[in-house]
Amino acid sequence: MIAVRLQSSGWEGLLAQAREIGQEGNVALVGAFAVADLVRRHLFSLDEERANTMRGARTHFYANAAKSVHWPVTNGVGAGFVITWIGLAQRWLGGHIEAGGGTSSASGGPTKYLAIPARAESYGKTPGEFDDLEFVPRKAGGGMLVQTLQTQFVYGKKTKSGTRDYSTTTVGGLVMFWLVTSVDQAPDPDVMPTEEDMGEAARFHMEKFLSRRLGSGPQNPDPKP
Amino acid sequence: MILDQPSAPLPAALILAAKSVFGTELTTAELRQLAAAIRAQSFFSAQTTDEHLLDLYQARIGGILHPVPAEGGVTTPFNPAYVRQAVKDILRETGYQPDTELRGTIQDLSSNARINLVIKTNVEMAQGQGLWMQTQEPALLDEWPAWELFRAEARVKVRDWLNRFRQAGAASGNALGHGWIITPDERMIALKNHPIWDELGSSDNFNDALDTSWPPFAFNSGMWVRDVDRGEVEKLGLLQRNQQVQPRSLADAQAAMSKTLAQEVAA
Repeated sequence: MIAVRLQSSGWEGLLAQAREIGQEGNVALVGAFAVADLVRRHLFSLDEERANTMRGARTHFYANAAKSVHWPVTNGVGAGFVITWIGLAQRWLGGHIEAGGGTSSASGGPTKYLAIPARAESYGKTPGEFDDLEFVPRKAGGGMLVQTLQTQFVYGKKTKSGTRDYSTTTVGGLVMFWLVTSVDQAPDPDVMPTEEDMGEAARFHMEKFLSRRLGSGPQNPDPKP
Repeated sequence: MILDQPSAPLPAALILAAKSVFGTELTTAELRQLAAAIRAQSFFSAQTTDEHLLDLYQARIGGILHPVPAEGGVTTPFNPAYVRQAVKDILRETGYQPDTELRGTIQDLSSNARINLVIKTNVEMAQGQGLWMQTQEPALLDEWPAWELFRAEARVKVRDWLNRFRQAGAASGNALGHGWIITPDERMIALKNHPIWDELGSSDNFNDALDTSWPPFAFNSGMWVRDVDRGEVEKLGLLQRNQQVQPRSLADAQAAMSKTLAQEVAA
């Protein structure tokens, strides 16, 4: 989960003007919403640009993250919002992940490995969703989950004697997941807009909103239906 | 900017948690006959009578909407793939077997297609409602008075949303340019709280609609909305300077969705 909070430092002048007309909370809210809007747009754009490289069925990770941008709340000294889609903070900030925290779907005990999809068919899925995987250790440590070899029968048309011809094919043997004990993910600053862009978006809308409140626009931004 | 962690439950999770589990044998079409207010307060899935399964769905989807990792920071329970696996596990434990001819289809409760649809639809409906409720804040309605409907996720089979928007606009009783517009480059924009959004999400108009005034509007639509600011809205002629969009209550939005049913009952 990522929480973004706008501090009042940097736009004290603006907020002081807003305070004079009783609009400080609304101006802070508009600032936080402007940043939330920018983040949503940024994440939706990433979703268009970044399909998974394995060409597996798309999970729309970034679009899901964009939809999980929650509404801003004010807290007296500023305003903020959270983004709840799991994995976004990891991609943005990077970091070390180690196996052992979760529960293994195979053994029911603590996980020994992290499973990394190796093929398009396993992208966006868990090893537990496959019932034909076999653990194969690797010399270098860790291991892989390999589809067991299976014989497929393909039946032909009925013959005159009432029997059917058939042919067999062997399938399987494909590595579906790589198993590792830990990963170190590099940070990707492009996952979020820059702080400068976020600050600029907030200022732009806060100023526009405030100028309307100070100008000839309606002084009461709480019209009742 | 400062990064930190909130602890209070988040609005979208609260919207979902407030729903009562409702096991039902009704099909999607039959469920539409229930008033929108009842549907809005219930968590259900067509032809799913197992309330234990629905409880699991609701709890796990709540976790996606507001993930609170346990000690150790494990986040897999909030990953939709692991939620799907949990659903399959529980179905396996209860001995669920789909009809042979329905295996793998949307009517097979254990199929990826069915489970993905239940998870995605419920997550997005809670997020969409949260977004809608947020937009009713007067200061935000003033600065961003309109929504633009856009394709957020690519689909293999794309429904004609431009035509739907046009139809919904016509059904709203307002002519093009009066609160809603399609720009020359085919952007679909309308004032927030314009009845076009009710019409767009109404199953009276579209069979796959979810009967809500917020995205995703229809099952697996791939559509979402983005905010349009006052400067652009005034340029498009949808609002005059100093004109305000009036906030709307949730009860009013739900009542609009029950309108047709009420008319049928009255008749």
